[in-house]
Amino acid sequence: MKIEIYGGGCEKCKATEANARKAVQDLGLKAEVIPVFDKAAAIKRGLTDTPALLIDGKLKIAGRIAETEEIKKLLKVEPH
Amino acid sequence: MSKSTDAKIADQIKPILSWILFALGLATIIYPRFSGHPLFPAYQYGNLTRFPWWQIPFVYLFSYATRAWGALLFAFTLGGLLVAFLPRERMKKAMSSGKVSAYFLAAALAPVLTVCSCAMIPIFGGLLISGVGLGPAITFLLMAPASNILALIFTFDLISWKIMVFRVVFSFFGAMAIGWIVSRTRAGKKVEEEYAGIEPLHAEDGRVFTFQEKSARSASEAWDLAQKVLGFLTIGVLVISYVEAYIPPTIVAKYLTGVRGVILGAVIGVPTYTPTLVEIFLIKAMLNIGMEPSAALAFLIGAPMASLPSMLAVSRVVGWKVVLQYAVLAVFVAAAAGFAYLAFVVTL
Repeated sequence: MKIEIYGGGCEKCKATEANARKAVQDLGLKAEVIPVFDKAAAIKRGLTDTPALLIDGKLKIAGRIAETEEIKKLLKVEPH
Repeated sequence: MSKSTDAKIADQIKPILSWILFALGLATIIYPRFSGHPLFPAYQYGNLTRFPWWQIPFVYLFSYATRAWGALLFAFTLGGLLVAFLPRERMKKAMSSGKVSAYFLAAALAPVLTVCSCAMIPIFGGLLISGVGLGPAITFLLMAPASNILALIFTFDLISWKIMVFRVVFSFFGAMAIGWIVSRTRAGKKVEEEYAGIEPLHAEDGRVFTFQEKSARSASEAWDLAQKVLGFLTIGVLVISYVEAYIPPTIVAKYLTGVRGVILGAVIGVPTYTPTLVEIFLIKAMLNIGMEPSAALAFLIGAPMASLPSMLAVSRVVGWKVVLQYAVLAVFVAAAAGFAYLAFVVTL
């Protein structure tokens, strides 16, 4: 499983990354958390609101800090 | 368990607090317009040079702390409410609905859509790949910092309503004209082609927030914004105190007045990077020592539109050619605004 976080490297993006890592750790999953803090790369990917959280290539939450509990729910729904 | 009850109490207080502080900030701005004197006493320093040099920054900072806290409170809480309550997705969709209307909507919505430069480039990119192309995207990119709602509040509160009106009108039409021109150039067309085939992704979460949740979020956003701005602003004001105290008014009178003043005002903004809102405090100081309002207006439009750090960030997306084109045009728009002010209004 792959969790990508896109953003410009601002505080909100870092908070989202930290929450994602916490969610993965809490659930004991073998998921990769990949921060991509590059605005140009985000646009080329079609992302127009940051921070953006993608799970296995699908945009789940954009434009706000994703909370740890929310990410956990998303990860549980997602088939492995 | 005491921590979780504390957190619960905070959840209860936050939504109410954000509205109370917003109302208090609003009152401190509006009250003086009707009554002629401030709602809370403000400290006036008089002539700065009567203080020893080491006291000047503190006297100056203290004066602004008593004078501008209400406007700052209003600005931060309003910023938080805008982030939490505006239907951003709907607004973005509206901006990319038609080729011509996109210019107007980009210019009209930019002042409220981003209060933080953080979100500017993603929305710029969103417009770029939405099908309306580079023109409206650049309009948004220039209008957002040049006529940001927070900057306008401070321009109105610290400088004058006439300067604020000119700032809005010239950045509005200027940003549209620049966007349209740059999108017609060869470099502009190349950028459009580069970003043409990208499909915008849409979030799947679809979570709906209650009024309570939005209000609470606005408090957090306001606090974020305050932290981001206040550090730079404090340092900025400390430095600006020496500008007001020690730059000889004779030099200001020679260079920052008349036609020469407008041209210099429009150009010096490019290398002078001033963080959010600091530009207004700097201009206030310059006006105190003799800069003419026309030159000040040119600076207030040119500096945010074509500041080096933002140009650097944008060039990573669209390349240097497009950035240079819009920056040069922005300097012309800033100068045009200054000349219009010099010709028709003159005084603050």
